[in-house]
Amino acid sequence: MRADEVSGRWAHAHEEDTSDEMVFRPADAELPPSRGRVAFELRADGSFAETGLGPADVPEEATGSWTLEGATIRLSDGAAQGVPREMEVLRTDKERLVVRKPR
Amino acid sequence: MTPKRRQCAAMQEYERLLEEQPSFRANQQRAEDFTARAVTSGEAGRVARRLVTIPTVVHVVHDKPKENISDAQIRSQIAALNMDFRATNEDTAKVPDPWKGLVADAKIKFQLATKDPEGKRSNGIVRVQTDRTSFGAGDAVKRASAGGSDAWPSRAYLNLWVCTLGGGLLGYAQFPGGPRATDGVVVLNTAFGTEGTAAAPFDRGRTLTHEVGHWLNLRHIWGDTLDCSGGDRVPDTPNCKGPNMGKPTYPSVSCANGPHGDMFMNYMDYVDDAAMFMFTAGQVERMNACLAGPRKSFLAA
Repeated sequence: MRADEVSGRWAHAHEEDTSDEMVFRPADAELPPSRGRVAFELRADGSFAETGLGPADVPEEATGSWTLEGATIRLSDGAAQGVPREMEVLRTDKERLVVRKPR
Repeated sequence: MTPKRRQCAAMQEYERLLEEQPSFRANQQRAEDFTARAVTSGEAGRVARRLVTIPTVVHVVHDKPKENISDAQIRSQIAALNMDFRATNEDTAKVPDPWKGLVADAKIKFQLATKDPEGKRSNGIVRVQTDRTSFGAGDAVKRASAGGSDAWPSRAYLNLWVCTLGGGLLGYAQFPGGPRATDGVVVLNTAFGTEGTAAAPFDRGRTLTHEVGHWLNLRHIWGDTLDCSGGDRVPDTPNCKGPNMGKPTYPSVSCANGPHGDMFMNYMDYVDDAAMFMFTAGQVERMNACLAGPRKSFLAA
């Protein structure tokens, strides 16, 4: 898998999750209001920005660096309630990024 | 030592600590320490014996006409909030049997303010025209100079701001101990109330119930970590891994909390309005401790 296949801005479409999969949609997609929706941007220069959940529902923003090894995305420390630090990509295209749900 | 003297000592210490370290983080830690003491000393329980009325002001900040929600929609929200806080909402009947005994009446009543800060008659609703098409979580809606509406004094009123929020945000709150000018709750106009522009699945007024829970120092039931390490500092809500969304099916087990699993029908989870319908006795005790400590200005009202 190439970095350009997973880079971009993604928002968690939790409505589409299954018991085994987490589904992300492009952040500019029209997703409905939610009590909490984590999002992240993987940039070509190896940096990332993310929006995590906040304890009083104010989204918590953080930045860091990311790598791709095989099909596994690894993120450095970021938001306390952000996306998983390690995500195994199951499939991706322009419409969605699907990763294995962490146990 | 008599309970009365313990109460006074605890109050004096709370005031002394507030003077010494004015930062929000430190305030929150003190609120936690106070909460623990107030619960064990019975001070929170004393607050619980009578009904506490919270004068409430709603700031409707609007650009397009449909954002200027009606008085009726606002009243539908206050009515829903009061039912939830008095546990008179009909859907408490759906609480699973193992937790039915935990459903608790917070004995808190929210009332649209009848007087403004100058003492003039008011209906508790402030309408402000803005040129902003939406707001974020950065509190601009709370500043007239930024296109929002200034808070009424937060020691005497609960401030609610209702506006269009960007990024799919439904609402957010401020814990006790924060800056006074931003103290209160912000809710998306289409998630406010039970009629008018309120839209499913957030059309039962529960976004405000959840946010006012935070305003009274309640935490998310999963403890704000996405593993099993966090807690909500309430003993009668089961530990759980992370937020539940939508309309889960009971039981939903995580963090070895079976057989009953996550208490996802609690107002402090992230489920749809129709799927949340209870505060527990432990949560009510935390809210009462908040009213005995960081928000005690409302007890005199």
